[in-house]
Order: sequence, then C-alpha cells, then structure tokens
Amino acid sequence: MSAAAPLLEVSNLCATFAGAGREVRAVRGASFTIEVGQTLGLIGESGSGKTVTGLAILRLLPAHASVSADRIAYRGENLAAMSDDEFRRLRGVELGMIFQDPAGSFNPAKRIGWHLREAIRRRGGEVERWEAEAGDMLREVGIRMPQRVLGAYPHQLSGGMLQRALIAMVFLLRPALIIADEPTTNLDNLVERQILALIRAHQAKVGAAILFVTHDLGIAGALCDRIAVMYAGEIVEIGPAAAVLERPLHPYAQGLLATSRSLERADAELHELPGEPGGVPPEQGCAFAPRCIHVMAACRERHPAMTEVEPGHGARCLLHER
Amino acid sequence: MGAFASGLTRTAQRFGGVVLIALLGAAAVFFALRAGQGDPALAALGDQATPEAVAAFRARWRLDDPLALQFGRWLAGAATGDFGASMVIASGEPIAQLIASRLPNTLFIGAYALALAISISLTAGVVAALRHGRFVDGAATSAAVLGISMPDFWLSYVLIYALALGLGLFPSYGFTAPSASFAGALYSGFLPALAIAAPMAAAFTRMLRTALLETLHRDHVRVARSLGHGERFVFVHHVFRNALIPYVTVIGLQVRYLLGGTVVVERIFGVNGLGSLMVDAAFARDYPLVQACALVFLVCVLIVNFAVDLVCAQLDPRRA
Repeated sequence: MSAAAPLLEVSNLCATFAGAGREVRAVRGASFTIEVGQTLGLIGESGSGKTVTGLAILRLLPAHASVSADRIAYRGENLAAMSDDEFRRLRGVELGMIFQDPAGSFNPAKRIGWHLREAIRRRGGEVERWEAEAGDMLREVGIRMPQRVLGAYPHQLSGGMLQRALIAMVFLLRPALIIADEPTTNLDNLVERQILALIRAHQAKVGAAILFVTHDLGIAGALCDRIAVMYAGEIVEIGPAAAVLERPLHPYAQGLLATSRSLERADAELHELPGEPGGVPPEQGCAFAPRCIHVMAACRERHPAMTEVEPGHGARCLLHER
Repeated sequence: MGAFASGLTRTAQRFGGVVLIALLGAAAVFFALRAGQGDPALAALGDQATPEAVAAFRARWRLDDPLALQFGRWLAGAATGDFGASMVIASGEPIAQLIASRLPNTLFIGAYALALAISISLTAGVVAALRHGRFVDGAATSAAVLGISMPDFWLSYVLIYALALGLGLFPSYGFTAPSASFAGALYSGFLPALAIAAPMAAAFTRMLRTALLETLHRDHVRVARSLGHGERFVFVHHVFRNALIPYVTVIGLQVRYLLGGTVVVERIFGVNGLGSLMVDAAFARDYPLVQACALVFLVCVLIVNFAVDLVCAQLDPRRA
C-alpha cells in the first residue's frame, strides 16, 4: 500500500452477460481512478453500463455475468486477487453502495430499526447503544422523528423517507468509497435536492469518495469533481467536471450536453441525438459512429483509443487522435 | 395501541369466519347425507326387517320429522357438545364418547404426517434452492413431481409391500395408540403418516424451492450483500425468512389433504381413528355419527387454517 495510490483504480473493466444464444457486453474496457474524498460522476443514457460498472466493482452481478479487468485496486491492493470471502469483508465498511430503488432495498418483513442495528453490528460497532447511534444518523439525513422510523416497517414509509433511511444505513458502515446509483431518480425535485445536499454534507464531514452514477448532467456538474461519460459500455470521455461540461470533446458528450441545455430552457427547441440508444454496438470501429454527426470513414473501421487532449481530460474519438 | 386494537378486530373477524364456515359445512353434510341413497333403519335392522320394526326405528330416532327441525335439533345439541348417540354402528353409544376414543389416534397421525411433511420439505426445499440447477436440485424436484402425482392409497400399498412385507421394517397393519405407548405409536404410525405426508411434502418442497429462488433475486438481498453481511446471515434473515410467508400459506391450504388422507389411509393401515370411523358410519348411513365426524374434521381444519393465518400475519407485516 503506497501513499500515492488512488483510493480506487479500475483498469479495463469488462462485464459480459451470457444471454440466450448471444452475449451482451454491458461494460467494455472501462478505466478510471478515484482519489480519496473525490467524487467521480458516471453519466450516460440508460443501458450504457453505468450501474453494471458499479455492481461489477462490488462483485454483486448475478452468476450469469462474467467480469474481467486488468486491475481493480483499492488503496493499492488488488481486489481481483481476493477470494469472495475476503472481498465480502470489504463490502459495506470500505466500499458501500446506495441503490436506486429504496422501497425494494429493505426487507419488507423487518423493521427499519432492525436493518440499522444489523448495519452497526456488521461494522463492529456498539450494538448495545445502536438505537442512539441509528437515531443520530437518521437525524443527520434529515429525519425529524427517528423513533417513528426505527419502529416502522418499510411499507409504512414514503419513498423519500426510505431513501434517507437507506442512505443512513450505508453511512452507518462508514465506507471510504460510496457507489451511489442514481439515488434520487424516483424522488421528487425538492427531496432530490435535500438528499444531494445531505450526501455532500456527509462527504465533507467524513471525507468519503463517491462514484456517482446519474443520467442528470446538472446533478453531475453540481456534485462531481470529475466526470466520466459512458456510451454503449465504454467510457468515451473523462476529465475534470468543469472541463467536460464546458469543453466536451466527444461528439456524444457534446450532444448529451446540448440536449440537457435545451431541456433547461423552455423556449429552446429540443435538441435530440439522432438514432436510437441501447442498440448493439458495431463489431468494428467506434460504437457511436452510427449516430455521430462528425462520422468519418475511418470511424467505422478503427476503434478509437482514449486520447488525452488537455491534462486529465481525454476522449475516445478519432477527431482527437493524433 | 391503535394497531393492536385493529389486530384484535381482525382476529375476531377471522374467528367469526371460522364459526360461519363450520355452520355452513355442518349444514352441507347434514342435507347431503339425507339427499343420498340408503336408509339407516335398513342398515341397522337388516334387509329382512319388518315394516313395524322399521317404523319403530324411525320413530325412535325421529327420522320422520321435517328436515329443518331435525337439523335444528342436531345443531342445538352439537353447539353444547352433545352429538347424540350412534344409530347403527355402536347402537346407542354416545357419539362424544366414540369420538373421544378415536380422535387422539387421528390427531396423532395427522400431526405426525404434518411434522414429516414439514421436515422433509424444509430440508429438500432448502437444499434444492441452494444447489439450484445441480444434480441434488434435479433429484429433489423430480421426487416432488413424483410425490404430487402419487395417490395416497396407491402409495400406502407400495409402502406396505416395500417397507413392511418386503424389508419387514414396519408393521403392515394395526396401530398402537399414543396413550398406550408413544414410542409404539411413532413406530406403528410411521407408514400411514408417511403415506399421508408424501404428497404434502412434495407440494411444500416445490413451494419452498420456488419461493427461495424468487426471494434470492430480490433487491434487498443484494443490498444486504452490499453491506457485507455474510452469506449465512443473508440466507437466514433475507431469503429464508421471507420465503416462509408463501410456504406457511401453502401449508394452510394443503391441510385439507390431511383430512382426505386420514380417511383413506386409516382404513388401509387399520388405524382405529376418526377417519375409519367416519367411513364405517357413512356405509351404515349412521347419520348423526357421520355428521359429528365431519364436523370434528371440519373444525380441526379450520383451527389449523386459523392458526396458519395468525402465523402468516406474524410473518408478513403487510398482511397483519
């Protein structure tokens, strides 16, 4: 373990699902690093492989998925070399995950209090005073009457309440890296903002790093230090958040931004990316070529490599390859 | 406090339902018996009975009164636990006494069968789900299909041939009452209990396996893993605990097979129980005896269903 090692280093991560007769390559060679206390935004359309990337890192994909990587290192330690049981011990306390669907994230037969108590037990905390600790954490995530929530069953609480409780459960384990998978997708605007604020406050307090999966560029810009844009299972652009949002390099990122900007202004005509997302990417060349407005003959033949255009900001596009 | 009170109300409602179903069931048995062929007088007195003797028999048992009156009289007695006396089989003997002597045997066989079915299915269902898609799973699933397809009377004879006559492991006929010797009852009751248990065990196993596999893929199981909880913890508290809800529900639904099972299997194995008593009574057109037996069976099934309902409400807070 060296002091210079990033918190998480992922190199050439691939995840493939064996389907009926055909393989679905959900993640194709994703590489990125996350530094201690930093937030990396993983953005892209649905089906681009964002969630699968998070689940693959945590080894939570179902058995019919196969995952490979040149290197997945946590604090310089190679995770791929760990047995399932060794890796299991890192989950929750080192690498935590906030899931999209808070209602399904709790066991419907158990009270919220049970979930939080078991989380504290998992961390090795003082189980005798779990109620005080869980109550404090619920208050921290904006629940004013923790006792009521602790005694409630999941079906008795609203989606926003459950998402807060879920976040509290993850925070109770004090992970150094939190994978947040669209944690506010099913919530209304106000609750969304509150929850983002409390995630940020907690991050500032404990210095956790976050891999923030979202399709919302506005959220990514407000929350993230760096942004990685995914398309068809590949990271097509990665760089500092401001640079990616102000000077996007990849035509897909440019299109995504234009769409997002046109949505923000009610008077503007809706900018749409041509073509359909989520199609099977071509065998050869650039995956985005069929939808790209700058497409060249070479794009259909040669697969572009990640090219650094300015320090820390690169894209996978032949336009930028020298 | 409010939740507790509404829980009480719901329990009271369920209990009211039990009483209503018992009433309807009793009426159905009463009128179905009388709508059928046969005459208890001829069964008791024989084909050669004189018309005077038959008339005296019918007068003694008030069989010529209007049916509604007979039903009312019977119901009034049954409500106070007085089922009257047997007309034909044990002429004049109080039915309550007959039932009291036979019921423990049947309850024993029924509970024995249920315990066997539950222990077999818990083991087979969990093993099949954990070894999903492998040999053990295939074997357990095939055995379950076989178990569901086998009629109990057929299985009874197979068990008698194989385990009693062939290997000599168990007696082929006769049953030692649990009051006489509990160990003896366990031993002599094993084959009849197994014959009743097999189809239930098969149905329970399939239910449990399916429920476990379905629960394994729920989000909260993945979330529990993401927190780093161990596989055993996840299985016990997130998978098995939740799969119990449909499993227990199915047990409640299948308990009626216990009833049908004991009636047939008791005859085959010579168990001196309520099932064989009811069959004898039905053949003899011993109306009050059949009615009493049927009512006792019905109440037993309803009590078990009632208990299962309460357990389910405990297991599933959304249903409480």
